[in-house]
This record gives sequence, C-alpha cells and structure tokens, in this order.
Amino acid sequence: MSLINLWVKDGYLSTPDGNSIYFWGFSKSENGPAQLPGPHMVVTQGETVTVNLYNTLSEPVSISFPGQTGVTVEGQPVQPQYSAGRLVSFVNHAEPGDMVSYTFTATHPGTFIYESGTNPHVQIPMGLYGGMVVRPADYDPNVKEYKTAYGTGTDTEFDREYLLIMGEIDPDLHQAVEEGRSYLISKYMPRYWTLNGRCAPDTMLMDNMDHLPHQPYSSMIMAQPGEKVLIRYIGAGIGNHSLHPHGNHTRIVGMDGRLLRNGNVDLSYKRFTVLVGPGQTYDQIYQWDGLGYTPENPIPITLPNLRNMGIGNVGWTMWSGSPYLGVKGDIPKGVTSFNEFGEYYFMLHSHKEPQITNWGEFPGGMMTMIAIYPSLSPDVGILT
Amino acid sequence: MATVIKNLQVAAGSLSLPDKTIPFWGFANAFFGSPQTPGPLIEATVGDRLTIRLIHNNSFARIGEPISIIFPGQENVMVRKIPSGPLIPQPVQPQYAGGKMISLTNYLDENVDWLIEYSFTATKPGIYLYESGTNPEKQIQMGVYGVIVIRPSGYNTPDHPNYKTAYGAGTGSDYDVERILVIGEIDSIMHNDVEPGVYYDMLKFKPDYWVINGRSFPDTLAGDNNTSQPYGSKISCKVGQRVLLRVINAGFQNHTFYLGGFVGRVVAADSFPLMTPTLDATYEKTGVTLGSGQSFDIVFTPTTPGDFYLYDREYHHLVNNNQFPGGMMTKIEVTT
Amino acid sequence: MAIIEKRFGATDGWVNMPDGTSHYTFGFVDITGIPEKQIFEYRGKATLLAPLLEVYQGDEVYLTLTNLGLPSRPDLDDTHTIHWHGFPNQIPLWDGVPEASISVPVGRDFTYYYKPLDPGTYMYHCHFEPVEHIQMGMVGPLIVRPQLEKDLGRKFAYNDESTEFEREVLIFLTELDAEPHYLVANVQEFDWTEYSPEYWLISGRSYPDTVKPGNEPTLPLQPFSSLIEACEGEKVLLRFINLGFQEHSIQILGVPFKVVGQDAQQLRGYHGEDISYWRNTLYIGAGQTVDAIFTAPRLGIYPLYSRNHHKNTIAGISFGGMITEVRVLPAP
Repeated sequence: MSLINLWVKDGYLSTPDGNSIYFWGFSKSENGPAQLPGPHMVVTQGETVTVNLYNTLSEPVSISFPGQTGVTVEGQPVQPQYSAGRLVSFVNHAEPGDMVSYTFTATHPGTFIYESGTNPHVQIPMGLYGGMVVRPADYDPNVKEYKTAYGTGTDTEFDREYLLIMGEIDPDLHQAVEEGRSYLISKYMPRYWTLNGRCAPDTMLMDNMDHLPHQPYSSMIMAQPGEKVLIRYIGAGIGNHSLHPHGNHTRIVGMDGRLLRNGNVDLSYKRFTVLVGPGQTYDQIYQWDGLGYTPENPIPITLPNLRNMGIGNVGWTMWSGSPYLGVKGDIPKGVTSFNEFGEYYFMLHSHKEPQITNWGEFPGGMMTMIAIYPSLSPDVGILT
Repeated sequence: MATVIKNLQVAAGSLSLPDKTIPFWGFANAFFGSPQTPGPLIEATVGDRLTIRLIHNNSFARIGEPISIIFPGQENVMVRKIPSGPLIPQPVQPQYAGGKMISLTNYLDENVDWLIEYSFTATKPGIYLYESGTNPEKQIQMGVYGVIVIRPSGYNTPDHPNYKTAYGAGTGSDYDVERILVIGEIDSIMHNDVEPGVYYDMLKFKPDYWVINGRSFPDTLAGDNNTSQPYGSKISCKVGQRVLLRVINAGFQNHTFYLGGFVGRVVAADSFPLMTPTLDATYEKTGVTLGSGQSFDIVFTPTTPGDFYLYDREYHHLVNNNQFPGGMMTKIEVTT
Repeated sequence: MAIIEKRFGATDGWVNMPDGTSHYTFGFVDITGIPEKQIFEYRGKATLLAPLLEVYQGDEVYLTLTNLGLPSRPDLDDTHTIHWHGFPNQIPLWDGVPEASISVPVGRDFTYYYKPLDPGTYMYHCHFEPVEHIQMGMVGPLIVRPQLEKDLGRKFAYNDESTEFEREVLIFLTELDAEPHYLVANVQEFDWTEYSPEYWLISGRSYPDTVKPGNEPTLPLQPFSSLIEACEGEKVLLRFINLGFQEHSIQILGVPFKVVGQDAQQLRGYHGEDISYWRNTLYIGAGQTVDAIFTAPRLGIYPLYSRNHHKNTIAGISFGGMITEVRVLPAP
C-alpha cells in the first residue's frame, strides 16, 4: 500500500525569457514548494493507493484520477460536489484549510494523469496536474524480461524511461488569479508551452536545479544506441500537441494506461509524430540504432570545412563537430559546444511550431533533446 | 427491406442557451414540425432504402438561401428535383457557378423548386451526420445538421444474434443503454449577425458556447422535449449495465470527449466496427479526441452507483458566458 | 539501387492566392544539373511546395543544398537546412537541425546523404528557426517507393500487394498567415503565438486553384495541382502530408478511405497483424502523414474538403481553401 500526501499551494514559475509566473501546484510536503507538474506518483499494480490532499488555497480543490475506477472517499465512491445546486467539483474536494483522502486500487499498469476536478478551466491551467505511473505487478527492474511497462510477455521491455507531461500557460490568466481579478476564459491564449513544467531550453537542464525550485523535472532524454527507451507522454493542458522525435519513430504500446493488445493480437504501431490530445497518455518505445558509420566505416561524403558552415545558431551548438558517435571534431572558434563525449542530440518537439517559442521567440516552449551517448551510466533514466 | 421516407424543411427559429436566446437555422419535420437542432433523428435498418426530401418551405420563416443535404459516410446517393430536374434520380453532384463550386451537392432553390429528394440504401450500420452541403460553413454552424442511425437487422428482435447491438453480433457492440451525443460549438455573435445570401467572414468564427445535442450544460440534463433542442443527453443506467455512447462531432473544432471516471472500449470509429471476424482492434480509452466530422462508439460498464460527469476535456469549453459549469458536459446517473 | 544526385537551392519567392493577393515566401527550387554560372538565375524562384523528392528504397541519395540567398531580403543572412522528417536512425549530420549539427550559410553548399530503407510518405523542411522557415514555405513532399514495384512492375504504397494502386495524388496540407509573410518581407518581427492563418492550402494552392493544372501560368511558383482524376473502379492512393501547424479533418463526400499507412509505416502490428482500417474522415495532426486508398466510384465529381468548414475560406471573403475534386472518368 502506498500513502501519498500532497499539499496544494501557490508559487512562481520561471520562464527562460525572464518571466516569473504565479501558479498553483502540488507539493510533496507541508513546507516544500509547490511544483509543476505535481510530484510523480509511482505505484505498483494491485496496490491500494491513498492520496491525502491538503488544501491551502482559498477555494475548494480536488483530485480526479482518470483511468482509475472505484476511487473512494471515506469508503464511499467519489461523488460530484455542489454548492447551492451548482456543480463545483467532479469529485469530493477539500475546502480551504481542509483535507480529503482518496483511496483506490491501481488495477492496471500504465501511465495516468491526476488533476484537479474542481473549477477545472482555471485550476488545471494554473498547474494542478501531475503524472502517475503504475508498474505491472510482476515488475522487477533487475531482470530484463520483467522490466516492462505492461508486464512480462507484453513486448514492452525497456532499458530506461522518461515521463514528459505537456502543458501550456496563458500568463494573463495567472496574473488575474494572482491579483484576484476576474478573467474571461474566452480570451485564453497560451504564450508558453511546457514539458514537465519548463519551457525550452530549461527543459534540457537536469532535475532539481537550484534556480527552478518549482520546476524540479528535467525533460532531457538520454540513452545508448540500441537501448529501448520508454517515453511516457501525458497531455495535461487543454490543447493538442503534435510531438515529433527526431532520430527515429516511436512504437506506441499503450494509451491512457491500457496496453494496445487484445489477447494475442498486438495493436501497437510506429509513428514519427504522436498527436497528444488533452487528458490522454501515450506509452511508447523509442530505439535509435544508428546507420553504422564510424571512423573505420566513414560517411560517403566529405565533411566540409566547418568554418564555412553554419555551426550553432546563436553562438552555441549541441554538436561535437564530428559525424561519428563518441568522437569530437573541430568546432570553429567563437562557437561554444555543449557536447561532452561526442554524443548525438536529436530534437523532440511539438510540430505545431508556434508552440516551440517562448512568447513568440524561437527557440523555446515544448521542445527538448534526446541525447544518445556512446556509454551511459545505468542510473540514468529511472523514474521514482 | 423497408423504405424510410423523411420529409424535411429548413427554417429559421430561435435557440435557447442557458443565459440567452439566439437565432438559428435547423431541419424541421415537414408540415407539422418546427425547426430544431440537431434535426429530427432518422432511423433505419441495414438494407432499407432511405428517401429524404427537402420540401419548399411555406410554413415557417425561410432562411433565405438555397438548401441541400449531404450524407457523409453514405455512398451512391441519388437525387431528383421538382420541377427543375433531374426528374429521374441521378447521382448527386457538386454544383458550380462560373467554374467554381458553390454547393457540395444538388440543392433546392425555394424560389424555383418545390422539392428535392435524396435517396440511398443503408448499407452499413452506424451513426452518421446529415447536414447542409450549401454554404456549410454558415448553415451547419447555424444548426442545419442531424443524425441518421442505421441499425443492424434483428437489432430489435429478442433472441436474434444482433439484438441490442450497434454493429451486429461479434462486434463487441452489444449494449443495455444507448445514447447518441452530437457535439459541437456555437458562435452566438455569428448567429446574430449572419445574413441570408451574404458571405460570412469565417475568420471571425469564435465559438462561445459548446453543446451536446444542441444544448449547453445544465440544459443537457433535461429530458427530451418539444423545443428547438429536443434531445437531452443525460444517461441513466444500473450498475453492471453496458452503456453505449455514440459520440459524433458536428462542430468545426476538435473536441476531446472525456469519460470522467470511466474507461471505455472504443468499438467503432466513423461507424466502422473495430472488431471483425479477423481482427479485434478495439481499444480502451479514458477519452477520445474527435476531429470535425468523426464519430466513435464507446462501451463501458459502471461498477459503482453514483453520479458521474462526461465532458469535453478542453476545460475552457465547460463554460457558459465564461462561467463554469456549462458547455459541453452531461451526466450519467448509475443506480443499483 | 540507383544513385540519385539532386541539388536544391534555398531562396525566396512569391505565391498567389485566388483573391489576387501575393505573399512573400522562402523555399527551395530544383537546380539539379544547372551549370554553376546559371544557378543564380534561380534566386527568387522558390516554389511552394518545394520540389518532390521521389526515390526507391535502397537508392543512395546525394542531396546538395545550396543557399542562394534571399533577393527580396538581401539583408537577411539566415542559414538553411534540409530535415528529412521521419528518417529512421538518422545521424545528426544529415538531420538538418542547426542546433545539433550543420546549417548552410548564403553562398555555401552542403550535401546530405540518405539511403532510405523504409517505403512510405515523408516530408522535408528547413529546420532553421522552423516556426518561421516552415510557415514561410520551406516545405516539400518526399516519397520512398517500395522494392515490390520494381519486382512486379505495378504500383504499391508498401511492400505488400494489399497496398496496390493505379493512381496517386499528393494532398499536402498547410496554412498561410499573411501577416508574418508581410512582416518578413518588410523586415519586421512577428509574435508567433499570434499565429492566425487566413488561407488554407492543398499542395501550396487554395481552391479553386487546387484543381488547375500543374503548369497553370498564373501560378508560376506553385506547380502542384491536387486535382484527382481516375477511372471508375481504379484504386487511388492519396498521400496526405500535414506540414501546417493545425489539425485538419478531411473528407471525400461519398467515398470512404482505407488507411494503409501512417508516418511512412505500413499498418501492421508487432506480430504482423493487418491493422489497416477504414474511415470516412481523416483527422491529421501537424507533422503526420497518412497513406489512404480509395476505389474510384461511379462517374462524377466528388468534392474533397476540410470538414473544419470555417477554414474553407479565402481570407474570409469567399468560399475556397483546403478543397479539391475527385473526377471519375469512364474506364478507357
């Protein structure tokens, strides 16, 4: 059994263009910071999960768990909440200063969203959402055939895993909420698009950066050639996002926490762009095998003199300067390379391209990189 | 194999939103009905011949434009028109003026014609839209759309293998409770501003109401009635019953129909059943995104009693006049 | 397996809409085989769409990108790239992402090398400041034909006889927001979060231009017709590519589609299950491709249109946009 305590509180997000945006988020502890997205919940299939929600805001807050059936509060199925006959929450909520405790059994492995079920057109854009991963009952990270997304025998083995939660931000809404002003949702117009609560290039920074206390999660994907990388998408915003990874297709093995398989019939499929709709989740396996080029088996073109080429758009590059994995070449003077070991970088981004800007400025928004390293510690790419 | 005849007119009327009333255009049962949105439900069984007529409107306020019906998902639709012809049924064709398409299909000009008659054979079970094919950007938004439901043979015969199925035996579409949910959006400013025969600048399209069966929440919860929005969308069922939701997007925008606390099995898409003798391609979802014109049939079985909401996961569509709760939302009441 | 050598120039141009307006574009122009002295005659002649790149699986493709500069914006020295969207197992050098490898400055060349192994419908585009360069028109179609066509001498979408067809047409979906095109032409910045198109295009044209022939003289830089002509009973493959920034819902009135491939993958399950499917409406997201086959029905004209009817407009003043026609002719 898992017991998860969440405090709802406010805080400030930072964006790479220097904006500071008031938001509401879940926190792991009474004195900890609100965070976007909320803390990852990682539980095991069959487990009874209890989530205690402590509300420090001045309006009711609740949590709905789409994909989990049989959620109860005080032993009774969750029920909509009304005030003077008017719907307030889809499920039982906590009044300001109060708490509510939800209990359910995680019956299915997969990726799920959890989100506010109260005043949702405000509370979800304000940040009250997070991700939940349910491990299959037979999950064992130390045995290859049991390190799977959906259980052994489901062809969902993986070597590393990453969770990417999409959202969008209209700063006018956040400012109106902060100042207690009314806001017309009909004017909703996102200016920022986020992966795990951050806009690019912050998405590529590591977890728990000191200067991003409310946005603890990285979106950088790291792996070695040939590894199976489980990428879990959650569409937590209210928009559609067309996510396109460079380097290879992904194979979608599950949606909304349900394996794409009926009996022996496998319905998984490969895509180069996955359209993530609001409230929906996609589990996919990404694998990059390369084309086999090495200094001993060289590429069939001559690399031009890099001083004559565009290297780095704005004075920096992620490139090594070499066509070969694990090799570093000559980056022209005046360009900073963030490449460490001759690793390869592949962009992963929304193909609704205005979404890869920060308030209209490229690069930014819903974009990150997939880094393929010649060798990488087994400790990288573990979700806890 | 029966013949299903439906006589329709298109007329202007008044539509009721939770906080105001706006003009609309809609289909009416000819002669004795009044305009409504969605239009009158047309029901048929596979093999039936459907004859759907649009009749020159003398009874109600005309909309003042040529009118027509298209039948997305139906093949080999025939048309005849009185008196301007063709008098003998011919395949429907888009209509042109000056080398440019002006209507997606043959239309009725109420200043000239008395009647246009479309006919086709119901070949595949499912739910389909019938809707305006003339100035569709304006007329469909104004409300000129409705639903045709085509049943498999034997669907109403106890002991028949197709009894209470949407797509026949072996398609996973058997149900105890069925509800058709036509989703869409309304731009109330556009409804007030359109003028007959004048091109409406669709760049201004900015819907402010979101509807299921033509109504915004909480009006969605009222029962069927005789108003201009006759179809309710509240669902009542018992624990353990199989509920079939037939969701079809008549709007121009995408919508994500979310099942709230339920996980449903998608058994058909665009009325093509996903379970066939050779492949079970049904899958489970907590919500489905419907592009404009798409439909999904979803089955789920509530296991606990209570009230549960079904809604557009695009939460900014759950408002009326910017206030939550409203918009594209309905409720399922589960009893023991 | 053939060796294919191509050379595309990156430059600018102007495209025409049915309302008589012209819009400044960036794009590519095919300069394969043009003598070096003459390539600068192709400045300002970028086409929308960019040239079709059509190869067989296993071909070795040497694609040289030459940055010819922007004659209408000589001050703007943007570099360019070619990103083959969806190329499996690509290496950064040929992936065309400036932040992760090479881009091509004005007056320079770079040769991309591809040996595609997976047949299907892809797209390519410039990845330098992609929101701007894609919207400005640096977008093109890419087809990898299957080996089975060579083996059997007939046409197939994939290496599977169930994907056979007689005719094929590209349906390349984009939108055009006139404001950034105007601002870029006039050396001003655009806030991309305000993106709000006025024109919706199939293969670079708005209806009724979509049904005009490829060599229509009034559309010199928009060489792609999307008129679909077929004889009764023929199988027609439509290769849908969405390189706009919006989702689009496409229908052909009275004609269902069999979807046989998506994103350059035949619809097969992990164990080879046939998971092709039928639809009346194709809902296509930005950056996706769909291979759909229909059988030409009885004689007549069948409109193909976006079901997002509010987008079937020419800048809000008349009916047009993402619409074309299927014309079914008598069997010969």
